[in-house]
Amino acid sequence: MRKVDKNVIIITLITIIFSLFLMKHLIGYKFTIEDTIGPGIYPLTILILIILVSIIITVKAFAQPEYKIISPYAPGSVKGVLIKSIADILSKELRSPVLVVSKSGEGFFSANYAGSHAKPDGKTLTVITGDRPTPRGFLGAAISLANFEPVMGLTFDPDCLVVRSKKDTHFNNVGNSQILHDLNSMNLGFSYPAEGLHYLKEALSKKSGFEIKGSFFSDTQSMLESLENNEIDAGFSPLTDILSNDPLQKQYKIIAVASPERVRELPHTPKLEELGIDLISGQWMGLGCPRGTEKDKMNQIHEILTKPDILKAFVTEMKEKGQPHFLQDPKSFHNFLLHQKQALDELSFNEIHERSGDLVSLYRVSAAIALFVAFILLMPYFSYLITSFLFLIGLGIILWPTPTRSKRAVLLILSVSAGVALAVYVVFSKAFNVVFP
Amino acid sequence: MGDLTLSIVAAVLDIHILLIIVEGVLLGIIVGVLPGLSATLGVALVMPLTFAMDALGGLMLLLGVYVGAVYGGSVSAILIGIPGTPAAVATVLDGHPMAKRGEGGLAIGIATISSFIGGFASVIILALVSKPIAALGLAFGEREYFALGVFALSAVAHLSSASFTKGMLSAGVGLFVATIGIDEIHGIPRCTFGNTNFLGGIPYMPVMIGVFAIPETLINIEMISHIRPQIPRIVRIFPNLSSLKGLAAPILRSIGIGSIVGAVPGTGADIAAIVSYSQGKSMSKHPERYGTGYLEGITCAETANNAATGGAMIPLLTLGIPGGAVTAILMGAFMVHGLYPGPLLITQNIDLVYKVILGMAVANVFMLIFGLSAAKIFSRVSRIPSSLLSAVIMFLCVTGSYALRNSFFDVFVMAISGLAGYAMIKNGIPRAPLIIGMILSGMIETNLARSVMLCRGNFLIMFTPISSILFFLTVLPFATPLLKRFQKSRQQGKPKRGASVP
Repeated sequence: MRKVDKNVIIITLITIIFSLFLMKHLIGYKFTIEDTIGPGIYPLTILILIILVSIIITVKAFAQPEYKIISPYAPGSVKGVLIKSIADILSKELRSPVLVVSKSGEGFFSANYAGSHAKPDGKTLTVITGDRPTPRGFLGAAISLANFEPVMGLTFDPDCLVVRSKKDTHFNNVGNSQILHDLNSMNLGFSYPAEGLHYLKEALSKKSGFEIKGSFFSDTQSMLESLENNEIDAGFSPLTDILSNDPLQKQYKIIAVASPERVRELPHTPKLEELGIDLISGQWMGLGCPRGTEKDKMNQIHEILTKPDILKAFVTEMKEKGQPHFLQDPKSFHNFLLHQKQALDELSFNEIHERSGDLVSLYRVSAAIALFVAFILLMPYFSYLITSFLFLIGLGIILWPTPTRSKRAVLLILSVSAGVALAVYVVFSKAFNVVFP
Repeated sequence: MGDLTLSIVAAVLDIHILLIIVEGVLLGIIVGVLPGLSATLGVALVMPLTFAMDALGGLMLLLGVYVGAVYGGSVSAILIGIPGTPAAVATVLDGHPMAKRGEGGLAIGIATISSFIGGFASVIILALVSKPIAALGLAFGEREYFALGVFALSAVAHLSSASFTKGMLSAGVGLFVATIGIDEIHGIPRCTFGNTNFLGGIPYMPVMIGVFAIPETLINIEMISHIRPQIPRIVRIFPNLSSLKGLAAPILRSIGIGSIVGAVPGTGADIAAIVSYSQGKSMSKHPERYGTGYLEGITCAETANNAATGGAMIPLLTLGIPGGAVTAILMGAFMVHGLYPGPLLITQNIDLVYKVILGMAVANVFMLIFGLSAAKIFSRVSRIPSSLLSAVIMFLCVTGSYALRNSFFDVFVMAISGLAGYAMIKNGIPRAPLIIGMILSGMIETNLARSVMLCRGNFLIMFTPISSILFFLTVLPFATPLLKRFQKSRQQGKPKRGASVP
């Protein structure tokens, strides 16, 4: 049976029943009095409006919601066109319209926000990406894992380590351990501006155990010019910046890639992991669903996009658009993001606030509501001060996060509760002449 | 005229009023700094305290909280990357990266100055346009007011939620709840079911406290985490002149955007900030720097969100139409003191209106002073445990509701409204239309009754030039999607699949 929004239906049905009951009461009033509307007409009209609107909402709750892909890219951009292709494929296979909602701008914030707050019914996909203005993919991965269930990886442009190919023959024959050793003494260039903390440089330092020396450039071209002028020894840049440019491929040699697997186009080039630096870095893009979406719905999307004939056409299109395809199933994509998030955690830079489990939140809210109702019901019969004090203590202790609950915390709660209850009692009764029970 | 100006200035600069404004701004900044607490919640919680004050004092306290809270959200947005209020959502994008590279103080300084300029400029705009718009409002009769009420409610329902039908449901419930009690026109009790508590109607204040404060507190309870935010060190707050270079154009643009967006019913400071940030990025010489810790980004967001505070007061003061949750609460504050905002208030009580406007300007000045001098202290406020804060807020909601009339009925109304408000949030039903519906219901019904009396059966008389425009604007949101669909099907035959929506 198709899933429907039960909560909304319950609310609207209660509203309709209540409205009908009130309508029965209002019909007894006169319709007109002294050339104007009677007392019942206006509220009756409102109740009719409420019932009509409730019926529409109920019908919509049963109706098949539209599939949506929320994209942070402008519709006409390269990636925007790719997303539209995905929408076209899905709408054909799912036999249902798939709308691409473009929320470009605001540093991908709008798309992320809208996607993470959508209903987890498997109908809303969000394009999640580490391709943020800043910082690099690590934080994007952490944010995506916090807000979304990864559905599928689409593209990944890994960072690669480049050196001059003609002048530097050193790297042609050395082993991976030598390259790792050489990193310690190199002045590395990064083709990303040094706005803010530079996660890639910090992660490289952490993973390699060396303090990596770095210079920052606004783009790959500037970095390569510095490499050419011997101002730096090697550089990190997106792989596609080099591979998409034939002259650059001849001029420069890629000696390692920050990818989970060896790159198809460079089968002999080791991963950073093979050099002893377990690091994945680069610009990635994938699809995610809001947290709480069922796994079979996510798997369905992946299965559609990886059907042999669809996959072939999709990969061809990505190649034509210069997009480095990196199709991953939900589990692999999740692991891919987790790897980058772990890099962020190791740098102690992860400020993504982990939400408590849903069950813990539910208990907390339920306990808060129960105590709140009890406070209101008991206040008329017992002293205001005592019930307030007990309410504040009880709620404070229940809501205090368990890992940090201690004697000190309990003392703090007791003192704050006593202080607040007394202060409010004194202020309201003396200054505002409120008579408390 | 000179005497009037002097009396207005003297009244606002009275030490008693200045202290109230200071208290309001400080409270507002503290509320704004605390993540999860909005300006609406702050104003709602403070509202019961204003009953014992005179009209000017009460309004100054509420406006101080409003101005302070909208600004205060930027402090936690910059320092810990969590917007203190929804209005600071866009400030995180550039403010927090600046804090991470040790320039948190500078970001706060720019945010403070931008907020002040935006807020102060919008107050000047409010002062300039209030009289002309009120003069237009004087031409309104019962038919125009009826149409205006319907339009305002429809606009709020349309703009405050992704789902127009849910917005209309909320508005409809608000309209109906306000009819419970004795009918204003005929004096006949409606839907009281013999209960004397309902004879006076459902009290507006407890509903407002319940609908805004309780649900947000319960949402905060859901998000309680044991991880305490790390506050970076704030080194220098006051920006040097070179930092301010190149910000004039974004500031001017953001003032315009903020004031206009703020004046539109159903929108608010958060939408103003996002619109201004997007526009700033698209018109900037360096759009790629947005989101990297760029001063222009902070300026656009903060100027606009505080400019929206003055903008939001325009429809309230000139036409008596609250455009959002905060102005709905402010309208309640006016009504509690026997004042009805609108053209009549401006013509009959112009001094009070200008005192309110001047008071807002003074609140912005205090916001600037406190923001630049005490940001380090305010930043520590964000470390207050959410658990304790939530308990205290719920306690204050109960106490505040009881204190209105020493009545437990009000507390029950607040509790029921609070739980209903929580259910509304969880199901995507907006709350602002409910409150605005409650406020406008009386005006809509009274003017409808008078209009019907005027029409004497000929309902074409309802459509005067002004009311026709307003009815047309009400119907437009319904008609536009239908027209578009009709046009598309005519042009293309079958509707396209996988269509993009910019």
